[in-house]
Amino acid sequence: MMNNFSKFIKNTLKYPMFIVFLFIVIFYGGASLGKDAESDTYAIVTAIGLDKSESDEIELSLLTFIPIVAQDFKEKYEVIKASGQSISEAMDYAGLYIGREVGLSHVKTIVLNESYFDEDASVEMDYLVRNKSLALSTSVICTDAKASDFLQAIKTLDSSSSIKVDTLIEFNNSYIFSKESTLESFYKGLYSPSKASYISFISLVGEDDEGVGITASTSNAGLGDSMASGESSGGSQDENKKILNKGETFLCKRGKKVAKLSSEEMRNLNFFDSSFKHGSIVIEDFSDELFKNARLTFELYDSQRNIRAGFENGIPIIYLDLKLYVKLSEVKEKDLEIKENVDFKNISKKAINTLEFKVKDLISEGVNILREYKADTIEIYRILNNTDHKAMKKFMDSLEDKEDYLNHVIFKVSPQIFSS
Amino acid sequence: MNFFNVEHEIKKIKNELHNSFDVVDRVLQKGNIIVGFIYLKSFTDNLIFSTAIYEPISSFDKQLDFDNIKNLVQANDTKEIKKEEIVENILKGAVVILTNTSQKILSVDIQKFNARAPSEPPTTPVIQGPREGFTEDIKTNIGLLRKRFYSPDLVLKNLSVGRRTKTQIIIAYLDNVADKKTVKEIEKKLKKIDIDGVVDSYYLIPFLAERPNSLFKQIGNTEKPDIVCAKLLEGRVAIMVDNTPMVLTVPFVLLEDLQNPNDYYTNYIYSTLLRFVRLIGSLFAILGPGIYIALQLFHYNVLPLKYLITIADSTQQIPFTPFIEILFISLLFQILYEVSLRLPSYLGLATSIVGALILGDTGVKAGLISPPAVIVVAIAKIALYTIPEQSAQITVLQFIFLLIGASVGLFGIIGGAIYFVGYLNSIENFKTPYLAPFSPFILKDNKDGIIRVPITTMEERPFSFSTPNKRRIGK
Amino acid sequence: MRDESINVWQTSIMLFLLMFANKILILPSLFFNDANVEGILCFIILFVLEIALITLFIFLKRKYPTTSFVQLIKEKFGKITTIIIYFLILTYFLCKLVLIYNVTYMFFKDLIYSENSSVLFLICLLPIINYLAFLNLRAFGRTCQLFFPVILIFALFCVVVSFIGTNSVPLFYQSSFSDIILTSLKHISSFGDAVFLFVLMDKIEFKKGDGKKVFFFFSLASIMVVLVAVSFYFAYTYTSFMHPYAIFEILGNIKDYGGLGRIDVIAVIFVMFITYFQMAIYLKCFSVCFEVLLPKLKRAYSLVVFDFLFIIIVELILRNLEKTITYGENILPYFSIVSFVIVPLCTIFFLIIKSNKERK
Repeated sequence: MMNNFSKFIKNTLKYPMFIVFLFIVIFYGGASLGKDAESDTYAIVTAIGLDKSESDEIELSLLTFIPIVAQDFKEKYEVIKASGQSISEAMDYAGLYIGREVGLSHVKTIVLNESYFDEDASVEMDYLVRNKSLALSTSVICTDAKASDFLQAIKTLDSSSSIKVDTLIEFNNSYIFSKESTLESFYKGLYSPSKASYISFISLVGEDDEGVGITASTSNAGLGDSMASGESSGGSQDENKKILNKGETFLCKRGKKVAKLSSEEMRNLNFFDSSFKHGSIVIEDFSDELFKNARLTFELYDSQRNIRAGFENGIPIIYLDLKLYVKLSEVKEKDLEIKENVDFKNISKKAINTLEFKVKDLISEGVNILREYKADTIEIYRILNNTDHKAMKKFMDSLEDKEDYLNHVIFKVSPQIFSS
Repeated sequence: MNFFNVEHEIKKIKNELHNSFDVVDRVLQKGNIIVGFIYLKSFTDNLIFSTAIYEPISSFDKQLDFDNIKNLVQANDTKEIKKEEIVENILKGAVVILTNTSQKILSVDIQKFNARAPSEPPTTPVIQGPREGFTEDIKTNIGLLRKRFYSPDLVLKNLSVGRRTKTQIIIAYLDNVADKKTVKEIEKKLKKIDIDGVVDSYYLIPFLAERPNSLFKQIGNTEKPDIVCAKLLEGRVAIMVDNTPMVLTVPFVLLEDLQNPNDYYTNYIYSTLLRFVRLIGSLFAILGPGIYIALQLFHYNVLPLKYLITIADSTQQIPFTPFIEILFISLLFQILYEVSLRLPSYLGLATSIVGALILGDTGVKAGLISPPAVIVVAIAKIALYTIPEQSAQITVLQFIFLLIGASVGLFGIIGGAIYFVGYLNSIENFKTPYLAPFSPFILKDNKDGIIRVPITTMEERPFSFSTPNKRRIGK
Repeated sequence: MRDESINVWQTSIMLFLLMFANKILILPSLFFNDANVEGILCFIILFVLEIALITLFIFLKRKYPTTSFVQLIKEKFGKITTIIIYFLILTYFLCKLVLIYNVTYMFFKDLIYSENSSVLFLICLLPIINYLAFLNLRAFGRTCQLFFPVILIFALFCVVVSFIGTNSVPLFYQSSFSDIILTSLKHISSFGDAVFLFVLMDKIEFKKGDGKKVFFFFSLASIMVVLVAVSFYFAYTYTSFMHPYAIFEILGNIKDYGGLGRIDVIAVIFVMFITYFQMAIYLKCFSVCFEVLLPKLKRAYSLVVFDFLFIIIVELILRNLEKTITYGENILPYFSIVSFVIVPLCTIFFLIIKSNKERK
């Protein structure tokens, strides 16, 4: 009997990989038999909200997916609130409240209260950047309401409609100002020469307010702090709120807000962006042989741009050659007679000239804002430096305020309008 | 002069055959010559014996001697044998004729056995193409093969293996096409076999394979004569064993099982597509459940949110942990498979209804198993049969990878895959790399690899094993 | 002996596989730290050095097609020098193995194995690389060959898709030439992988014109590495230093590619494959060197010794990424003398002697 056993052991030892396999299966496989799915041990967070309390504590809200027993696979979310001196402390509390570890790998949106940008927000956001499970492509939104209320609004939207807030931001990125508002873009701006970056601003408004908001009901009931500290509002006190995306943006310097730019102001900077292919340009009070005191709206359907840089006598010059392909899409005139032969395609030379001036004006307005705040978000420094870094260095050395270089750069814009 | 005491000899032979009830002897005395016949009535054609052997001898009116008897027998398969070969010949269905006047012994093969007619084998059905399959009768099988080669190049070598069964084994190959060294090696290996009986060709595989204890199939097998014919034309050697329709082919490479007879009877583009499907199917069958459980237990963070939500929602009510759940479903499917394989077809239908509807659907509705796990395991179990010849290996691998996935996650699965490929690469049967033509990569052989080119462009025989004559088309 | 030989395709594929690992993980970020976007030039400089090493190997192989490197050293320098040189090479491979392991372990720990200890990782890794190193070289070469298309597809996917995420241009001319050279020297230990060719020299079947194949695979790999670095710098510009795992981060930068969610898992799988193969190749070389030092011992002993040393180093000495980076930047470059000084000098010496003899 013993002989057979030792023979068996000897034979088995001839297959070390089999022993390794057995070892893995017995020890690790055995442990896995009792292991729950990670989706049950982690709280799957899809959005993070950050507020500051009056005592300067961090109020963390997590929009968390809660699995439910249902065959319709509907997404059910809860907002978990927790507070602490730091985000990591608040995260620990949030985990405690829900009885799971907080998993941030599926976070798509981070909502920050605007008070964060009164100081350098990057200091507060440090935890988010260091956390490896959090994708840096996560959208960051700033709001004037409480971030927790904003998450409540997102929760209703995510649970009851196909509209997702992160897609709103992405829409912003692609069509309104061609600038991302993500963790990555924020830090990229922060570490750029002018230390300037953008953060999208979306407000939460009342149901009766105007704007293109999406009605979403927010309730104050939630798990976590409010429940733990007995501050629950006693059931769901519904208050209809709208998420209003007007395309507004915070311009930040060194992580701190310096201006709130409207979507129109942001659009002026679009002319520097190669992905800006769609949009509209309006000329007010235009008169020529076809129109009289008319308001003409031109729709942009394609564009080409060439940005060059050069130095003349040590002064940096940016040449922006623009080719804009437009079509007249709307005319508003008091006594407009719609004749059969009125052809919008035949735009007069005067109209084109006016349009060219308008484009120059718009660009000038945009650049002036950037000059005012010393915020080079259109990467003029990079263009100049990559063109002639020695001249650039000389130019920078000649400046007293190294961040005020935009005011000394000459912009030469030559737009060409092509109408169809 | 008396060479044999016929009656005594017959008695001796009968004793040697333990006086089995079907041993029949007849003694004919004509003048001073005594002719003894001995045969097995259960294994010979009695009518032929009466009309073609006994009748001509008994009615012969001249002086009988051995040579006369030999000429009188109206059967094709007659031969003179030695005394010690008597029993073996009787057992092989021959009538042994002894005379007291000669030392010579005559054996007339009149074996009769009700063999199954060649029919379409259930293991390799084809949509188009020949439907003939081998039978259990080796003579029929040889006939089926000969029918495909009207050429003297087809060489058939006869051997017998098995101390007690003395099973007939035929080594078939094409002269000047198959490698002589391979044939010799096979012959050597077969002659070395010392086993009491060979019941099926599978008994020979461990004796022929380089790694007899390995999980992996190292010798090809088929039930179809057209496949054997194609393999002989490629330069391979076939081994036919009596009493089994399974013919072995060597050298074998894994790719052969990815190829299907249908591939050669349909459009080459279509068959290439099907080969890709088979490859993906078998990979899914091996790795699917393992990856699924690894993602659930270790890497939830790499799952897209939508899938994660579906999985998380559907596993909420399950009383088991994910690993137990998937083991349970896998086992359930395997039990159903085993049962449906062994039950008669009319009951098989009932088990599939019970399996699919009651156990699957009701299990999900009752909250015992989750739909994603059922889907993953079901697809894996179905995909297993994209390569039916390897289903045994794939089933085992599926369980191995399931255990690895549940134990150590994705990193372990990739490690396991590398290990198995490394192991397969170390196998070389008859000096043929097991994973040829992929590793080592042989470009010319890849004309009939995953991608199949038209037959007109397959000008050469495979390079993965040696053949003396490489050209298939042209000189 | 036939079992212990690989053809030039398999050799080239092994070289290809060795070109990745930490070159596409932490190196782009570390280069950016010291040399900004000019870190790309560091890659190019170090690849040029690698090309020089490969060229030397090809020359040597042409002159001595069947001789092993150890025989050549023994012939010219004697036994003791051979032992010293091979001991240094062996140590070099051990150091490289530790570096690669620690970097990839931290990578997996950070990203997909957050809950698990290094024991699980070692249990998966060590048996497989031991098995591959124990396997005859031919089967090992074939295994690399079979996985090559899979790895190539993953690599190409990463490289091609990473360009989708590049929407900006970095700031050039921020580092001086000396910065670039110093950075290259600081991280030289991540290069010099071609030295494995010398160790396995006699086991490589080499015909005339095969050098082109080696160069082709090397160029393919190095171009891919440079492209990864370029797309990384173009995607992250000023924040490149914040992202330690380049290949993973550039895929993570792309949002919801094709509705699949996080496609960075492709990079993770790619790195997993590369880790296994790269470590197995080094271990094979370690084992070959060990056999030179202690020829009477069986191959299995070399693996046992390796496992023992390896576990001690990674579990007791270098337990985190910071320590590993410090070790990689401060200690390991000295060991690179083996790949970039000792081996080339020996080779040049043989070649000169050979040509002198031929002239005579």
